[in-house]
Amino acid sequence: MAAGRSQHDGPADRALMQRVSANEDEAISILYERFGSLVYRMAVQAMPSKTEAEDAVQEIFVRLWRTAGRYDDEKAALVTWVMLISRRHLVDKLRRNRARLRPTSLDHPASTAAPTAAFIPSRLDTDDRLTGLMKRIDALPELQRTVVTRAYLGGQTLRQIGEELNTPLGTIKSALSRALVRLRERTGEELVV
Amino acid sequence: MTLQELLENSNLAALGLLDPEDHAQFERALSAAPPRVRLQVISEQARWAESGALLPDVTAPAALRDRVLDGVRNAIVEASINSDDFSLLREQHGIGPRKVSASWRAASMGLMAAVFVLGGAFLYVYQTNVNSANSIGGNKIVTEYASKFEGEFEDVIFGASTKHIIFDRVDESFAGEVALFTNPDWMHARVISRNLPRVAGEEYRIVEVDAEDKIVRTLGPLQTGVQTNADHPLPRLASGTKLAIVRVPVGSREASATVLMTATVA
Repeated sequence: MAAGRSQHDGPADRALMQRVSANEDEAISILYERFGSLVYRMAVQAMPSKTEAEDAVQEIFVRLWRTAGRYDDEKAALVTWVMLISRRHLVDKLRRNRARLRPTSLDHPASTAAPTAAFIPSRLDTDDRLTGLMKRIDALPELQRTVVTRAYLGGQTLRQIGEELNTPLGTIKSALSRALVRLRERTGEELVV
Repeated sequence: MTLQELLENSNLAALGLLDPEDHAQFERALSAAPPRVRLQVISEQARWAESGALLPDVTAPAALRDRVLDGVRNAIVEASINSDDFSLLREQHGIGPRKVSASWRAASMGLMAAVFVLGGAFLYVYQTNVNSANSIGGNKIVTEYASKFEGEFEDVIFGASTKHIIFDRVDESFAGEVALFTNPDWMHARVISRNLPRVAGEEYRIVEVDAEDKIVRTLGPLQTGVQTNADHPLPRLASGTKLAIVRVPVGSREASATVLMTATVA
């Protein structure tokens, strides 16, 4: 299930990305073998259909090739870099494809249920694991639920969320960080990943 | 950024959830951290990224691998068409010389002639555009812009999908020049400005305003002098959004200010 090697091997990863940057076919294949599954799972989570998810995976690997020369193992492990590039690409697509969230306020609790429901793609009905994730998100405290739904699933920036909720950026970040830790812990309780 | 904040932000950075400016701040703080802390953070981030705990348990179709690799190969070839080392790439990808019929050879010769003609036309248009850019902004601004955005420069200036929004002065005596660049493929708009007169105790901002020029929200700062906004990328802007350049007291949170320049996103 894990996407890449569990150990951060900076020099080897840097060498791999230099080879990718130099258009080496074998290096590009290795990159896909290591991270294709992770990128695909991210794409399936973000995109409304599997066809669009597959398109996104192809686009992401092109983007990884284009940016390979910029990879710096002193700043991030390769798996983190791949996740970052993938997420940015998916958020770009998401923002192009989806209608923006309507602003809501924590002053009006009745309105906070809507964003969560709005971001549940129809395929979740058939994906028990994501349905479980949504249930765990719904069980989070209100601010954490709102922030994780909008940022992690909805692709909104933290500043946008802070402005729309009239809440300081630091509070938004802390809420999201705590929410992700809780979600990972709870996922780990139910599923050995 | 304190060590505590660095650690708190590490999972958000790993999952790509920090805004670009915050991510840049995180990277600076990480670079400045003691080596042991840096390695710990990088390792913890990798654990977050590769755990996939929040991702659906699905398997990529086997056929996707070939499709992705073909897509990258095509992108490489496309990128190389105008590059000097195309022949090297052909060699790298095993595209060797082929035996062709006389008719194909004649057609390719004709195509090559057309390429020369179109290439000449392209160079003429390109040079005209460069000259226009120079006349608008001067070499210095173009050079700085190019250095800031590196490979994106041509995309920003000449990209077919890039919209150039030039701010109009409300008061003609105001010397500032501001241009905005948006593109559906970017997460953020780019802004470039110069000749904003320095006024002690005041700062320039780019803001969204309503029809009556009341500030709806502040989008980012504008510094005096030649400046590209790489460090303060603006959010995506919907068509029809009215923007303005205002000058306000430093740190001001006022909802109204004197509007110096305006533009509407096409």
